[in-house]
Amino acid sequence: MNLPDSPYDQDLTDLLVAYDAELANGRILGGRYLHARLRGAPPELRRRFERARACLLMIERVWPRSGLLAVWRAGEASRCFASPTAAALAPLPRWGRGSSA
Amino acid sequence: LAARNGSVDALGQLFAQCIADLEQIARQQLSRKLKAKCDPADLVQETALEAHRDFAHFHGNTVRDFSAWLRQILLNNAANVNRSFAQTNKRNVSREMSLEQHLQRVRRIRDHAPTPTMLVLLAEERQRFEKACWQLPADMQVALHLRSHRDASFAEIGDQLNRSAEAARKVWTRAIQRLKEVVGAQDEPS
Repeated sequence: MNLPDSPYDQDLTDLLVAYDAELANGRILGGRYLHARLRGAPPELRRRFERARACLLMIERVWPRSGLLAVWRAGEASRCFASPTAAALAPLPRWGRGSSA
Repeated sequence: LAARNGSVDALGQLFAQCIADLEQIARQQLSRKLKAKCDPADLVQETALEAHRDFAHFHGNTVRDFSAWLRQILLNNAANVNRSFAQTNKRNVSREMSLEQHLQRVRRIRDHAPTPTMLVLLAEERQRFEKACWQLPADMQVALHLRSHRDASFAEIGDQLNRSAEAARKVWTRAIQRLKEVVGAQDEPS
């Protein structure tokens, strides 16, 4: 069962890889980051990203990679939310650059 | 074995059949002190990763052969971990932290120490999550494992999967999406 290709597959991959890199560095980013990253994103992409992001957070909870996340794993997520850096808030290219192979 | 013919789904199913056995062996093989530092589930994941990588060298024909082969890999890994721990258990200056770092860590643990209930919930969530992982195709399992346990780059993941870094990114993204579906399906009332 393969997921159907979508014009936003590449965008989704880029978003998830970027978010995962932040998580790997112990940075759990929320509102401002998501607002900046998803600015202008189509609803389908937003919905898919939110679902996948929830899964990334779950992975980080059960297989934590950093000390900070280990703390968050203990149920203190709200205290650990980080502020996004300027780089993390950088604008992304236009959405829907074609379906993936 | 369909897995011998290159079916990654069949290989995943084979792993799923053997996982309970492997987890039990992993628990038995790790010394009590070491269990606090190395989760038996990690040892099983490591074994699965090696088995996937070296599957071309498996010459058996039955599930029983496969199980025995996995067991041997696991025993070797457990022996390596136990040996490595025995060697590095001595004082290691490079790993020592400054007093301030130590105090910060103590404060953090004290302030955020999980309750027994939280630990139980986390253990349940991890169990559910890992069960879902085993239902994914083998290449997705490898991508997830390498990314989360080894902090591997996508180029490194691609090397393991004999694919490009870009293809590895896509495998990993699809693994995340598929995992969400599987976990969601598990959570639905039957």
